[in-house]
Amino acid sequence: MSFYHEMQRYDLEGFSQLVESRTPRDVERALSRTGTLELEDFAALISESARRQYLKVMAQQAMQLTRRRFGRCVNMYLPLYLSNLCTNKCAYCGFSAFNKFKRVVLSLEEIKEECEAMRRLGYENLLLVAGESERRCGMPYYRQVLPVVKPYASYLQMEVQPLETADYAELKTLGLDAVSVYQETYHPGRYAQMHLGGRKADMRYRLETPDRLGQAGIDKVGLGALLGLYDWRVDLLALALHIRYMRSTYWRTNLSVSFPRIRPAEGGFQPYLPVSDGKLTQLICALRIFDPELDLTISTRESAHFRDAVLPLGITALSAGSSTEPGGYAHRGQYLEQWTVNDDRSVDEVVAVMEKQGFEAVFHNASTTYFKSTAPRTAAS
Amino acid sequence: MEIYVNGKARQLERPLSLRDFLRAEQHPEEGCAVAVAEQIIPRTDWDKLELKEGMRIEIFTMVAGGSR
Amino acid sequence: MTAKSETADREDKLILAGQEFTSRIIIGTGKYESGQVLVDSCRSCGAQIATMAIRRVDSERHTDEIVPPLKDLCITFMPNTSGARDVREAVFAARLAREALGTDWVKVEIHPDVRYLLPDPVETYEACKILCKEGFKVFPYINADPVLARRLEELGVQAVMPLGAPIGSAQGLKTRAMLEIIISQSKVPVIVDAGIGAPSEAAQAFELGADAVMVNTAIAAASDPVMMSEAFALACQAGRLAYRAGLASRSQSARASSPLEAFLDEAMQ
Repeated sequence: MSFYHEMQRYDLEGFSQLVESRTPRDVERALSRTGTLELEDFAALISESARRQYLKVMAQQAMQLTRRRFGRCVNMYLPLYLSNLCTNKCAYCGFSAFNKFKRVVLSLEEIKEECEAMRRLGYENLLLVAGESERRCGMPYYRQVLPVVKPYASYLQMEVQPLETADYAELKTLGLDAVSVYQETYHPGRYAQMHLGGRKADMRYRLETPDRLGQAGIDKVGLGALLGLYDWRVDLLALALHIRYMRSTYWRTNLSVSFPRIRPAEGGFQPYLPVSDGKLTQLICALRIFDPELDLTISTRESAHFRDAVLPLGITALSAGSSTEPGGYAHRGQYLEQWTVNDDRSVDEVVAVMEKQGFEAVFHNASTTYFKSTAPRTAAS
Repeated sequence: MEIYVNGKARQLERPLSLRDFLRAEQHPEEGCAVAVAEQIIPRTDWDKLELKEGMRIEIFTMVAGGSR
Repeated sequence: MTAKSETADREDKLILAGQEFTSRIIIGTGKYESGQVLVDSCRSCGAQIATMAIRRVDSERHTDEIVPPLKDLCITFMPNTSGARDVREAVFAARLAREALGTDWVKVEIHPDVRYLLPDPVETYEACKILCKEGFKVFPYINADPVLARRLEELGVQAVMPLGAPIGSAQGLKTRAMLEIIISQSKVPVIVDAGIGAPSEAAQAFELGADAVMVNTAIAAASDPVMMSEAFALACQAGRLAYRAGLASRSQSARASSPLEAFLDEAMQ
């Protein structure tokens, strides 16, 4: 059993209708639930009627739940782009193998330079990012990279190609704490249209990655859908199912959710169904209410104005002063960046705004791993 | 011949199978289990099991109740 | 519902180990003044499941035969391992009960603590591990410990039976906060066992989302057990209906700052 099998029980084609048909009463019922929310409740919370009539009530609940669970601490992390090399052909991505530009994989020396630069910014919670290239950015590379990075990272996250369970277990022994693998879209038809080549075209392998992470005993698993890629109603309901499945199957695993969003851009990839600021605000509140323990992350892909506004609604991790080009902290402007940073304020500026709002920016996200090698735990064998 | 039933000595006049013994005792077979030397004797073996001199059999029965 | 295989639960059946039940009360059979009162009480609340113990027969003392009359009521037997103080005794008791009743159901209860008869989590876990492997349908009696409940669930138990308060204490749902967590995350049915002293407390358990309750002393020790049994049936129904109807909750309070207020105003357009 995996989430792939779990998904077979549901009819994704009915999800949009499920959201659209929610009434104000359904929203009220969802908001007054004392126990666990059902999928229908979540559908009500992301519906248009919820946004137009109940967003403030949702915001209040979301704030309260976040405060109760996380206090006023927000974890600060910084991405470290290891490479822009990618063999995947994703219709929406700047690193796609379709695009011609100078490819690079950082050497261990360059990585060390980046780590030094990131340390100067005050960061200890590092996120390693790479495109998918088994040949140059596979396990042999990561085996070398992690020992270089770990001394700089009290909490070490990765957002790279999906790996095997045994690989994750091995990387855990090298200090890996968290892994994010975003599904992009949960809709098989749309997924096939968007992922035209490379390993990533295998949707099932990607969909089952969080299962493998759970089995490998990785401390935290990041889920998410690329908003705008397909109908957000479908992807958000599927994401909610994924969260619920992970919670019940891998209950020793922490979960985080991120909200990457495609905005309409000139000449760029046009979103299938754009997600407005108002909508995204609602989705953040809805997820917080759906699962009060979730870590919710927002990157510098979003504007300063938006980030400042949604911070108290449930965000628990932020990046600031990010570079999305390999080597961008030590030597800016050498290589292509994956996407343009929208909030380009410095770390100090962001922290100042957070303090004004009554939040503490936490830079020393201590790892909860006691032993380097913990036997992977699995569910009922 | 002497056997022990739940720790108490019993005299048997002739060799008996376990099932014959239970019948002679008018012990209801339903809701009952028998063990010899901590080995449970399946119901299907009750005919086969001949009671022997000195054998210690334990008879268990379902009763009302629980912890308290 | 969108789930293709979501079972239509209009009839609201309780499913334990693949068997369907319409009643959600499990009757403990101890302390009744006679077998007849027990049988009448079971009938009066419509119970379909009863627990019972297995003991060495004292041949000189006559005890009421309990199995045939309950069988006539079509009651499903859930033999327990009461009296067991460790894994070895519990496993032996389970095997005996399987032989005696021809059922693979067993309620695992191991309580070395003689004062409160609180279940021993370590022995219980180990016993469940063995019994699940032997193909038993295992129902462990446990303290209201959410992590233990999940660990047992992973072993393949058919339900968990957390206590509301020490057995026989009639203190109600003292473990409420933990029961809520167990109920919210359990993939197997949750049967609230022990501590329920009054029908209102059984109703509370159902309002929390319990799948069934186990009641013994509260009925057996009432002045009129048969009438009390009926009262429990009504309370269980009320609580279950209230749960399904969805309780309205207490109001929330948290204030948004004024810039956030303006942002939200815009977001609602």
